[in-house]
Amino acid sequence: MDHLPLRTIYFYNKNCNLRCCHCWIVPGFNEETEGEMTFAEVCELISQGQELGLKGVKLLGGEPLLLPYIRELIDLLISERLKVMIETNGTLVDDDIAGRLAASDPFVSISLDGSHEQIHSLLRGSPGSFHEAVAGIQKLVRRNIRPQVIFCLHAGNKADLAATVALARNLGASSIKINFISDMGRAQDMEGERLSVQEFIDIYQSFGEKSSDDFKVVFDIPPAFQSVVSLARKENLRVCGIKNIIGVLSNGDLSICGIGNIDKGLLLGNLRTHSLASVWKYDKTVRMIRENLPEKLGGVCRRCMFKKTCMGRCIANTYHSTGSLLDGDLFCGEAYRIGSFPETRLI
Amino acid sequence: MKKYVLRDSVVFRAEADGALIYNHETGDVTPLNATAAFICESLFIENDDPERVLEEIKKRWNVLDEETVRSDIEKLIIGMKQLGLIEEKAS
Repeated sequence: MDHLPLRTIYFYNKNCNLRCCHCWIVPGFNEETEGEMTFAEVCELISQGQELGLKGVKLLGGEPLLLPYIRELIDLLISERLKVMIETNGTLVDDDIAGRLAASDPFVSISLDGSHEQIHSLLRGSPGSFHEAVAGIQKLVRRNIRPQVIFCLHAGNKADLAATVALARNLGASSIKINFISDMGRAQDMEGERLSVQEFIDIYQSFGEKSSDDFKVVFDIPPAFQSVVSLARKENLRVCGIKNIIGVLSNGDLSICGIGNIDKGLLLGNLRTHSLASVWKYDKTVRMIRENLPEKLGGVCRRCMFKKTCMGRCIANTYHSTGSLLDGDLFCGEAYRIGSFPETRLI
Repeated sequence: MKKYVLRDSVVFRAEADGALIYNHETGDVTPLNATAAFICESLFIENDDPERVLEEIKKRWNVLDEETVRSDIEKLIIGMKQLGLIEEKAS
């Protein structure tokens, strides 16, 4: 077999009910769904994926819970014994969605960017979205689903990090993941609000280890910056499964991750004209990733002892900035440029 | 006790809270906590006498139970052998 199994489909809804100022995918805002895949087409996608080894589907966006067939899709994935993963703003989680999800062991992430409405709304914009997200978490927890909270760190909420960690813990979340906001999509207009690489490293190092047995605090920071203790626990290790993942946009476009929504250079075809198998097995970009990661990574990744672990982190982000998937991680590259990349992690 | 050394393909990096071992052959990184890092550096790089290392660990980490330390050292050797990180020292 000259192709790897396809383990996960990242299914992106191109539509959203919020208009967050840091969103990298730049979805439409409450738009009509003309041209979007029908549920029958999504069923066919899942079936084709299973023939390639599919084990799970991650629903994201935009807002995945806006998909007109979201309830049927959740039921389908569960009935097919596929792992259900959902990354949502939480505002549309209702008792019915929570109940359907509770029939399996899903992984649900909900965005919460502050411990109260005022801070949360700095990114989310939409009044009321904080309380709706909190209610969404509570509905899941009542069904014994402990979601992960995702917190996007920026200048306006960094002082609220500890309070949001406490809130997430008190709400019954299983973990909180603290994200760096990359210079992509709408975040490009956040100049002055996005943290620098150095600021993010400093906050990670000063925040310290706050995980406990039943609640994890996870910084989305490259392993090169993590303490040995953190590396041993593997809590902060985000191993990119890019070699076993394909992105599908809700209009049927196939893409490396979801990047095809903002960078047409990484569109691989459309399910209405290409079979999933033909793209997965023969597309030149997919094959290039398969053959060259991580050995051919450039930049500081070439010398980093963790390149096999993180695979250059988000190569889609790198492509969007440099035009090459293999130029090396931008966060680490910037850290190296300013002298903050740990020498002991270079080989 | 047999003597072991780090294999040529293995890089040992001391860190503030332990050490990292990088294996060029596999590309894998193995984190070691402070005690394991001390054992690894003492036995496999500096070729210290195992009994002296054992006594030093008892002193530094205030461990009273000698058998526990001896067992931890043996476990580390077995683990590192399985990962292909150490080899028997040629006499």
